[in-house]
Amino acid sequence: MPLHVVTASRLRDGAIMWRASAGGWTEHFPQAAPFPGDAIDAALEAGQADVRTQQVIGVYKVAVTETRSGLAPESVRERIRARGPSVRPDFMYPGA
Amino acid sequence: MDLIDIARPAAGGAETGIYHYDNLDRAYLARRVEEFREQVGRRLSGALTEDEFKPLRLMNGLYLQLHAYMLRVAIPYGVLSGRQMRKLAEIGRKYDRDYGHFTTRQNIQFNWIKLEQTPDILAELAEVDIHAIQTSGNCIRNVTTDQFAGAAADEIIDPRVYAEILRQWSTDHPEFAFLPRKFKIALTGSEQDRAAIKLHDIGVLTKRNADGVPGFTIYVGGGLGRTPVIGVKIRDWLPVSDLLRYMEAILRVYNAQGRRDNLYKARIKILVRETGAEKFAALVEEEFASLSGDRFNLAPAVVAVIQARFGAPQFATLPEVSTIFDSAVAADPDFAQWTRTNLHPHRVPGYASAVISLKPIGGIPGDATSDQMDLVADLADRHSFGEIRVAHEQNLVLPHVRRDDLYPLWQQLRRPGIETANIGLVTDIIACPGLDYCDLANARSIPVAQAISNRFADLARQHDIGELHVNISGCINACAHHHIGHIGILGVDKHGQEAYQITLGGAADENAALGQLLGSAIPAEQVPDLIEAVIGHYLARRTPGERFIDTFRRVGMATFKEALRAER
Ligand code: SF4
Repeated sequence: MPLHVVTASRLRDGAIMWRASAGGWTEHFPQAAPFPGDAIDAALEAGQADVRTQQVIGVYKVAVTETRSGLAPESVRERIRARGPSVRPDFMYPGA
Repeated sequence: MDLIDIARPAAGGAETGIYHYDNLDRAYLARRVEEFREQVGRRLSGALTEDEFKPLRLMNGLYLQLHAYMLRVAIPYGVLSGRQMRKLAEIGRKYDRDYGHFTTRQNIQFNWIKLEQTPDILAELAEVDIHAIQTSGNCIRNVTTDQFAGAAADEIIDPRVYAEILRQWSTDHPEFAFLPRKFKIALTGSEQDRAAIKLHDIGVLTKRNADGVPGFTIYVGGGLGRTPVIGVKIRDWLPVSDLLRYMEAILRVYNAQGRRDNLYKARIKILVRETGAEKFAALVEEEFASLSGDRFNLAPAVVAVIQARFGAPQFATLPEVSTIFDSAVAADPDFAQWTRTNLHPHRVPGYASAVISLKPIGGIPGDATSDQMDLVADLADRHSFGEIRVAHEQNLVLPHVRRDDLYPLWQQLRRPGIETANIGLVTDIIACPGLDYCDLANARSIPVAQAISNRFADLARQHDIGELHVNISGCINACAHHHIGHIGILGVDKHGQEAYQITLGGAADENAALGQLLGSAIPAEQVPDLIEAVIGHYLARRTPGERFIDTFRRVGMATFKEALRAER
């Protein structure tokens, strides 16, 4: 079954956000909630509600796989969003 | 921005090199900042939706990128004062992560900007007469020019003056604020093209006619991206006084006839191709003839007013030869090596332009820390009348340095990140931010640039290889101009993986050419080996005095392909 997380950018500063298990958003990818199969649709809808209250913009789903060290985005782009620019280890996101 | 007003007296002041704003210009900028502050407030409160707000923020140079907002600040035709550079350093320190990224369009980008702080940033930039207007959107963007503007020995006219005239004409031009697509103009003040003019929507090259009178050769329809095209000449010689009228005519034809139905066919290059260059030129000439000569005429008095607003450095009368410089070159081989690549001849005897490389070995091309920007500002104040230029190759230039001062200057530059003697060499790589930062990217550019830079770290070897331009773009938008790199590298997405296509033989000079594809895309880790093999083949085939591009043009792509196949 496909596994996804939900991501967006925070409106006021553009920071990358991940939908957390308890609802709401986190800046830390390791705290992102995985949504199997069709469960992603409701999570996306919940994310969209926060667009309407000016919290986030650009909500979309990201395909992930489960690894021994936790969830990992499938695409290079989303791995870079989860960890930080690959060329600046000093900018790596906490917990990445 | 106010249009040219010849009644207004020229601004004076100690600062030279930059165009001096007056109160009208400053009031305009202040109004724009307050307007944006109000728009940001309305966005944060929800009065504006993102769809409504996005075009407004883009008009102010604010993009949403992979990790944060990115602010693109215009550096008009690449000219900065020390004071302005210090402000950029301060913005980096206060609102970003202590650095900025200089781009191939002679602008600077800050990668970690907060929307809520952007109005304050723009207000601070306005304090030093800098803004981010028209760095995005379907309008006329920052006019780019030669990085040795106002200094080069071969300069026929000062391109800054005409670039400034074009800036005033194009800023908030009511007819050209919503063109079919973005529009880029490059202008060079000498017959040598140092601004890649044939790869712009309009390219302006200065040349003298048979009577020795300076004028402009006009190219249109150049551009890179998805459909790379070399611009075509539509006017061999245009009197300088007619520049604005001719620009207006080209833009009118484009604005009326450019395609708005298809994003990929909206640039002027497609219109020129579909219309035919000759017919397009005829349309422009017709429009040109219909425009009032009086209204657009750049009379010498008008040009003189603009020129005066730049202020003129008080050059000393010096001998052409500097014994201090010559002795230092003889005594210090590292300095001698730096002088071979990082200097450019100056129009005034006893001076030279010094290029500060932003391409340290293994570094990120075009990035400068706030401390480095401050240092360059101090060095500009001390050695170059406070003047700085940004090169489209993502380096910085101190345009007017006494030859006597070059050795002390170089000694002060001997700090990590800015001391490299590699201008025009294989490690002077032009690279876009790529997938590490850019929302549109297919693949990373910077790590590939770093790997090549590390592979060719040995400076003696680089100098032996000689002039060689490597350009790396992270997607087909070609911000790093990969099509015109002697070696061009394009990041592509190959079944979800980053891969790189290599082209050879591109050039941005008077003999502009698009690179030819070497083969299918390869993974990042194979790129340095392939570049090494290409260079090895060049070294084996070159004749004395030949640069890479000369050898390539002589032996052709087939020979390179054959040699590489044989090696595998
Ligand atoms: S070339 Fe593509 S990846 Fe590179 S900066 Fe431009 S849009 Fe982004």
